Amino acid sequence: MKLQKSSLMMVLTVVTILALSSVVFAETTIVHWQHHSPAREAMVRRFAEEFEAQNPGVKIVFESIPINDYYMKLLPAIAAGSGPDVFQLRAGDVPRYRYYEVIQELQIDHELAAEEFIPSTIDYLVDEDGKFYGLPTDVQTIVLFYNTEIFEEVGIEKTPETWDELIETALLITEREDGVMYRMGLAHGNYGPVLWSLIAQTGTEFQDENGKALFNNPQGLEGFKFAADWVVEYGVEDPDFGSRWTAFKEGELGMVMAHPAMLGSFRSSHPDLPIGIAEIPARKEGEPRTNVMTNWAYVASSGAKDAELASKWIEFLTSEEAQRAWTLETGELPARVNLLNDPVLLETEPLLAAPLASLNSAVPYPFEALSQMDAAIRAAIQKVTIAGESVESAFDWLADESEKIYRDVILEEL
Amino acid sequence: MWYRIQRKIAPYVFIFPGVLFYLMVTFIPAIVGVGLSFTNWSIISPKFKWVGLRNYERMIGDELFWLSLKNTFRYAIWLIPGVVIFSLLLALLLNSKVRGITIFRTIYYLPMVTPIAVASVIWMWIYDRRTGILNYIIGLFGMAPRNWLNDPKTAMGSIVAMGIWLSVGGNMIIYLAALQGISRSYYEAAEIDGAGYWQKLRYITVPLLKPTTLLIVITTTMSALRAFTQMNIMTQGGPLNSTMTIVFYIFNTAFTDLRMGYAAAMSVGLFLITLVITFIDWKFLGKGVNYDAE
Repeated sequence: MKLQKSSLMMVLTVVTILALSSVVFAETTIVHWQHHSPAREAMVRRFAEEFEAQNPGVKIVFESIPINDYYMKLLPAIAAGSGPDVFQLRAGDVPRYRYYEVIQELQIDHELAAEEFIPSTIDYLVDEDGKFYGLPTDVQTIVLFYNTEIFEEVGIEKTPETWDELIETALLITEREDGVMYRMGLAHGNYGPVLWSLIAQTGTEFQDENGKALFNNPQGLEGFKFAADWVVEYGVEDPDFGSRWTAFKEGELGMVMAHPAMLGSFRSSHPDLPIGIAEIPARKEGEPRTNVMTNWAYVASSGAKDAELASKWIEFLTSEEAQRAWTLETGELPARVNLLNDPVLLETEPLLAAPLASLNSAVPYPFEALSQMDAAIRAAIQKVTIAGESVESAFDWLADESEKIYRDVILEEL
Repeated sequence: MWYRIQRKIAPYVFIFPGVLFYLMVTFIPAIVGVGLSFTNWSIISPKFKWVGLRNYERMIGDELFWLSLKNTFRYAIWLIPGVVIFSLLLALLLNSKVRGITIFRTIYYLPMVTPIAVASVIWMWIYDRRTGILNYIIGLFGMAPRNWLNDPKTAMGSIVAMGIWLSVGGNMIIYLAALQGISRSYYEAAEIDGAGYWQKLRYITVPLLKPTTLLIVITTTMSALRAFTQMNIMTQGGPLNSTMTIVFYIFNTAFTDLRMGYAAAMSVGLFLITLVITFIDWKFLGKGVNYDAE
């Protein structure tokens, strides 16, 4: 009987110790999803290790998902209630996810954050009361990449500062033989943020609060026509030339407007490529070098098990140190005001001067429905450059399409 | 008595797991999909409203829906005869007893095991305006290089060519199996009557391959109506929506626009269209099909 009693005591003691230890050593996990790039994945894994070391008992379960599968995996997971605690969203998507209560207000010092981040990077991330629902990452402006050797070869000494100078420079670079282009002067590649940047430079407004298109006016048309004219009027861009990235890497393209992150791509595949980077030219001398910014945001799911910890992890990922490392290793621009003229960044990579400066004249992407509006402006410019439509009718179509997209995508669901 | 009951129940017990699985992953989601087509569900939100037939009304008035449907038919109309003709030709060529025939069969079968995403990237290299082999070859004949995937006139044809390359290997094997199932006695009788190669092909081989052809036409039609990955990787539906297929449009509507209700309505539309086409295939191509090749 005694033996039985002592055995029972022993079992109870063991069970109690195990139960207590599971409380003491319990791990709080944060499931984190984001779209993949090798550099980005390595960075987040490193940050996760540092965060775990600073916060014992916390485990970051990280998943890096190819961009093509990202939303296809994220959306059903959210619908099924099995989504991640922290994830990446396009900044423009944040208001809709907030409306659907899929994401939650971050537990951070909102006033401090509003001072620390560049305003254009947080435009979509705060609500009417200034409360943050995400912190910015993967910031991209539009800059002008150019091939310094080609510039030297054709005797260009300074980068173009106005639209007229841009076309003059492009014409000097462009080479044709029997009507076939062998070297392209300039390219936008029908890329939405570049085309919207040119329209934004005219100073036009884009859309009112009811989704009405405000850009269908002589100013907006001027920007759209200028982009189309690279192909149809000046002949400095040829849509049949193939990939602009391949052309630039092969020295068959003099200038290309693109995101600063392309620097990393050019460097990794063609380390000896003679690259220069400038801010995109202004429409006229003395006008701002306005360019359209796109960025992503880290958000915390409404179902995050530990909301405070999720916010802390997001703050860690977007801290000054993290963003500095982020910029140096991935080419993505920082979103923090303090890093705009950061000496460490400029000393380590002098080519970052123009991309960092471009942040000062960057405006947020003018529409919430980014993917749809990118596709729409690409189709509009192709109507002119491929199908031979007039710029006026293509631009009218674009304005109608923007209103339809607002109705179908933004208004319909809200 | 118990034995009899067991015998009656046993088949149902055996098929139960399969039926349950089918119900869970196909039938029930399809029914739910039909239900969703009457809502404005956005996929990420638990909130949604019943909107009646509004999604179907919108579908009827949606130009892009009809354009993507037209593109899908264009794709199918080129792909199906291409797959049937090339698969049959290859099967006829490889249905002979020559040395190393297995190697040739393997080579032609290889595209079938290539993931479609990988094949798309390979064909993008082939079509590349400056470094692609296709432009190099046409350049040898003095023709100017083209940007095959960026021209509305050539983009869909370029994707069809890849589709044929991808599908021919698998269908060739099906034809080859069918060819080897045709009894030699038919050919011997025809030879005694003085029939030549073409007559044997026309009056014996092709008619006896009708069930196989019907199978290949139906399966290729279904895969053509679901074409998505190659458009997603190679052209994103462009230029000027010339390669926008219906499944690609449905995907964009669901996962980019977050309009799952409307996407579900279009999926129901596509299901009905597929049903009608399959019925037509069956009704017309199935006429006179002889399943007894022996």
